[in-house]
Amino acid sequence: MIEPAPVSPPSRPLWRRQRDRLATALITAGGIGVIVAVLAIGVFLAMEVLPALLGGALDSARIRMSLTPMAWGTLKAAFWAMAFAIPLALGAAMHSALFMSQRLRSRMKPTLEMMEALPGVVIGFVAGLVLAPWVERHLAGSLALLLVMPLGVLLAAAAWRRLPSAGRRRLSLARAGLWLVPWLALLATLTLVVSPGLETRLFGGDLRGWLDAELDLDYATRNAMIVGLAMGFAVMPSVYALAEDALSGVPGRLGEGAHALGATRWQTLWRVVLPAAAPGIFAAVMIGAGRAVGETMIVLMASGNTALMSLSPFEGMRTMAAGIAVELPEAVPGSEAYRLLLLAALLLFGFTFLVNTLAEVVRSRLRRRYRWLGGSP
Amino acid sequence: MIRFAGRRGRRRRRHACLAVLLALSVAIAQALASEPPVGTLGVVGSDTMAGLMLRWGEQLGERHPGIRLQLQASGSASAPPALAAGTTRLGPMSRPMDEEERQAFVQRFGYAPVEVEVARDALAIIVHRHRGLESLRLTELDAIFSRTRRCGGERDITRWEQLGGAEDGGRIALHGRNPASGSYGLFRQRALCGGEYRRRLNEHPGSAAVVAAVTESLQAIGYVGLNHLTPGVKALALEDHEGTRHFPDAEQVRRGDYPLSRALYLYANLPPGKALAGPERALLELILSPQGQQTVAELGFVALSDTALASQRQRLGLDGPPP
Amino acid sequence: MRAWRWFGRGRLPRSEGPWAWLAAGSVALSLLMLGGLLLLIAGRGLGHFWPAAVVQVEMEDGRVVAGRAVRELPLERGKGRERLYFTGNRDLDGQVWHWLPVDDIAAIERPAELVVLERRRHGEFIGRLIAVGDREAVRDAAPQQAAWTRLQARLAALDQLRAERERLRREGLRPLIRQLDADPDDSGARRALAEANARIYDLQQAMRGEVALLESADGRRLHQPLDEVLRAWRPNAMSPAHKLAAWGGGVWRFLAEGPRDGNSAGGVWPAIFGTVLMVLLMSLLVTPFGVLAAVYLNEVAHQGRWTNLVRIAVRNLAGVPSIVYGVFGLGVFVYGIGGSLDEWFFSDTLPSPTFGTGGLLWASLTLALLTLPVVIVATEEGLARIPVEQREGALALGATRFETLSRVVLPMAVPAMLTGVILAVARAAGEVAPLLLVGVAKLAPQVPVDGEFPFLHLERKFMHLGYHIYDTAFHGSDVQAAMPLVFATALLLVLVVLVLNLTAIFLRHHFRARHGVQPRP
Repeated sequence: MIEPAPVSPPSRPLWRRQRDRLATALITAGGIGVIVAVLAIGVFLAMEVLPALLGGALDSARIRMSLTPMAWGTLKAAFWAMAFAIPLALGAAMHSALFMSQRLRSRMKPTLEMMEALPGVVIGFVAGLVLAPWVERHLAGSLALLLVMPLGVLLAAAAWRRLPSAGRRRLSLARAGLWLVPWLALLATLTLVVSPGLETRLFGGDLRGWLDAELDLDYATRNAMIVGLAMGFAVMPSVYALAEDALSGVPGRLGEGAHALGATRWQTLWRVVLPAAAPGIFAAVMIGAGRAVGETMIVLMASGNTALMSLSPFEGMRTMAAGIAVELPEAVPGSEAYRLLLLAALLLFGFTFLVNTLAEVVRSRLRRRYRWLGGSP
Repeated sequence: MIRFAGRRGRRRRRHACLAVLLALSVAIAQALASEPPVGTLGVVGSDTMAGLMLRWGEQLGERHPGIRLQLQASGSASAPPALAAGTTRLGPMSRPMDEEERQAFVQRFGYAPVEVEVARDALAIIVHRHRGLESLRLTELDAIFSRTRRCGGERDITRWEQLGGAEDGGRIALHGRNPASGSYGLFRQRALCGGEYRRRLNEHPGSAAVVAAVTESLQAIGYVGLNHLTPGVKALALEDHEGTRHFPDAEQVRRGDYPLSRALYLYANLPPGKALAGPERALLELILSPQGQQTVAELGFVALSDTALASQRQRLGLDGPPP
Repeated sequence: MRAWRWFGRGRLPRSEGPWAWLAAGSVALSLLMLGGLLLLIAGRGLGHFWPAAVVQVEMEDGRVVAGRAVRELPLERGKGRERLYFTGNRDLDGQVWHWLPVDDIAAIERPAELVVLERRRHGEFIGRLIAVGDREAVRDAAPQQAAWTRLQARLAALDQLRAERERLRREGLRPLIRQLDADPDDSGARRALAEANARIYDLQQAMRGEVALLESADGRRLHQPLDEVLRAWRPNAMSPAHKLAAWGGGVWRFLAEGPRDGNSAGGVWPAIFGTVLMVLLMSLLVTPFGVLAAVYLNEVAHQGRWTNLVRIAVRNLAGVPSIVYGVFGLGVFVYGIGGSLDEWFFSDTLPSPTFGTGGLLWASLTLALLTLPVVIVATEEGLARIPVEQREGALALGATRFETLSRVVLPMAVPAMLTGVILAVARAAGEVAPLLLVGVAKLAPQVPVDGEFPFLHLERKFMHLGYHIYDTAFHGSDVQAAMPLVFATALLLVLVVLVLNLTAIFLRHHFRARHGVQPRP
């Protein structure tokens, strides 16, 4: 504005100030209201459960009887999911943070983030009604796949070394994430074709019977291995995304220093970048575990809901989330069963909240450290 | 392997002809003779019977375009309180009302609700279609599913070898329903003599999941309602304590000889001495007609016997002229 | 440091070693699984609508069946294989499936004259068409030459009659019924109703007139009333172009029709409608509140330890399992608020609950709560990326804080809010667990929107795509028959969620490119 603004009548600024004050007050009230509403979840659960718990309305023997298998199952499912998701997610994160070209990485990240968006009910349906019976029929082949996949990758690496340098450049390690896909698909097909013959030769054609007779292992159709695979698949993308952020956030000069000293990229990663990013990776794993503990539909559809307490990957389990989903709509409000299920919900809430808080604190510390490491000298 | 489906099919065809003729005559007679019943029928109750009620509602709409059925299927337990409070006059239930529920109704109205048996159902014990087993004794069934063995089995049965037939051995995988379902309770009460299930039981959230699991696995055994049977599984006959075999076919279930059979009910609020009127009458007329019973069979349940139909029609005053 | 010297001497060649390759392998494996899953869902979901060939199978023992091969399994203990055929004809056989041992099959043919009828009752019929006409005329008719063309003409005519009946019901009957509900003694309306009824009976009579004489592959005959036949086709006589058209029609019916036969046939229109409506309501709730909370946290609140704590807590709530939100929704919304509402306003219908049971409103509210953290976090991120200079400039020009906020800051943060809302919608569309507790229905014959006051029925239950998958796969009457539909529904849900996510990713990318400012610590 060139001319000085005309002096407005005295009522206007007053009105404006009042309006401003009013709006601020409204926003404050609304904001606090929303936040309180969101936080009310924990308060509600605690209020419903704790009086009954402390007042002795809930018999502790009963709690032990019905909650212990569920708590055990929850942890077991999360354990097998993480056993599957951690290597996959961290491997993928390391590869895409340090080996991939920038271009490929910017494509790869959204693709794997897509995986996170797949609804649990779809994964659960495929795992429970398609994958579980298939694995039961192809038990030997499926177990063999667990071995063949890593060996196949190493085989590809060995073969790569013998390639002429032109071939090596075309099939570079930076793009290995892509060109290994058809190779692994081929290997998987081969394994499934060959495995029935091997099963006949080694286990008398019935691996399941062999497991039963020799190792006294029971194989249930819907078991922890299936749940672990499906839930690992569901959890892996979020672990990947967070771990990748942590790894690629490590200030570049640390890695460059190691490179300059003659370390290979993997050595740089292993000795320099990884230790620096370790807290972030820990946080990623924690958040993934929180997810796995609370995932409902996958477990509901793929676990068999058996109240067993075993460690075996071939047996089913029952988790708290699935128990709540199935039983709570039928439970009469205020009854003992209702309160027990609410107690399970409170446990879930408390556990995930704690785990996430821990992860969040670690992550914010890490960000501060990166800024310190990479910031202006 | 015994197939009762064929028998059911023939009965169905006979019913079909009857049903069409009767439906036509009833519809025309009513359209001409009296004012058409009009109104909205609120029905509150069992979810097992939801499909049945919906199909009946559809047919009712064809017979009497002025009637609309509003179904709230949230479980058998929701019917008695709604009946007692007078918010609905019809309550479908997949189990009989217990004494407490009946008393609540009597206190409010001074008379008991009318119990109408509308169809029969049973829990079938299913195994994989290639399992070479045709029947089980009731004690064996209990020893397979229960860890308490209240029905008098001598030892636990956990392997197929224990049931004879050495060829297809292996551990028995148990499949059943979740505790909130009616089947879980019925099976526990009738087959386990009120005992406890084994922990190894796979508690599926739906009957279709039980059938799917048994279809895929030779080691599996499970229990489901008759309307869920498919050719992928085989229903076993049950041997009672006298050694008589009962197969869950339409005849045995209708007579109640099959040990795990049950009736499906519709409870109506009807003062003693009065005949049904309006939309309620139209619905019960449909349900207790050959067409309505054909629908029962079509959905995989078991239709009532002709004598049961006739006696109930008479009790409800359906054969006389509408009031 | 010792290690570094070790490498520096070059005792290891400059190759990356096995672990780097394994890391690459895990990327490949993830992609392989993702691709495999998507391919499986897409293939099985879309393949279902293709009019597959129908074969006539002759067994060694003389049995003849006609049907579509569905799957093949090895028999236990290596005794050959068996194949599952979908054979339809539930009214003749009492079942729609046949498991046949492959070794016992004598011959497989593909006669072009095999017809498939989709019927309202008993599911599909597979067999031969003999004659079409009045019940008496076709009693034991000799095979008609023109039966097929005649059938198609009659089906088209029946479609018109059906539409006419629907129109009569909608325009002639419903208003009268409403009138009578209000005043049961209105004799004029009663008479009009009787007339309308009679017209509908006439129509139904006209529709019932004709039957088709059908014959199954093994020669059993069947009189099929034509008004129960929905569609008819001869898959073996169709050209690829015909098949493609039929496929398109199948996909369209899947999207536009309601479910039939206990959800194992028909379409998913009510579920699409319910999902969209619920998500719409949810975003109407979540957007203002989420933005409000974010603005408060980022612009108004004193930035201190306490605010940071609240921020962390809100972020953590995004990680709390959805089922816990469902429990909260059931306990607070349904039993708490809903129960009180019923006592105050709907006491005349108690004890059957109006708002005291799961319904559209409670489901939307619960999902809104579930997705609030997503919107808050995304909006906050957007707000934090806006350079402080923008705010300072506005304030320096004499704007009040509210004006700065509403004219400068919020407009700049719109893409971030949008991203947040889209992410929230994507999450809500795929979330099923809380809905198990607060209000979906297996089959809701009444859509929550209709012509009756107040038009939008917030207390009604509704159908949902995700729940439809769970329900059909676990509670249906025949999983094998419903499986292709489950796959198709899953494909639809995955597509919806992926498209929403892609939009969000695109928006976020676009937005970051515009303001490359670091978020606030």
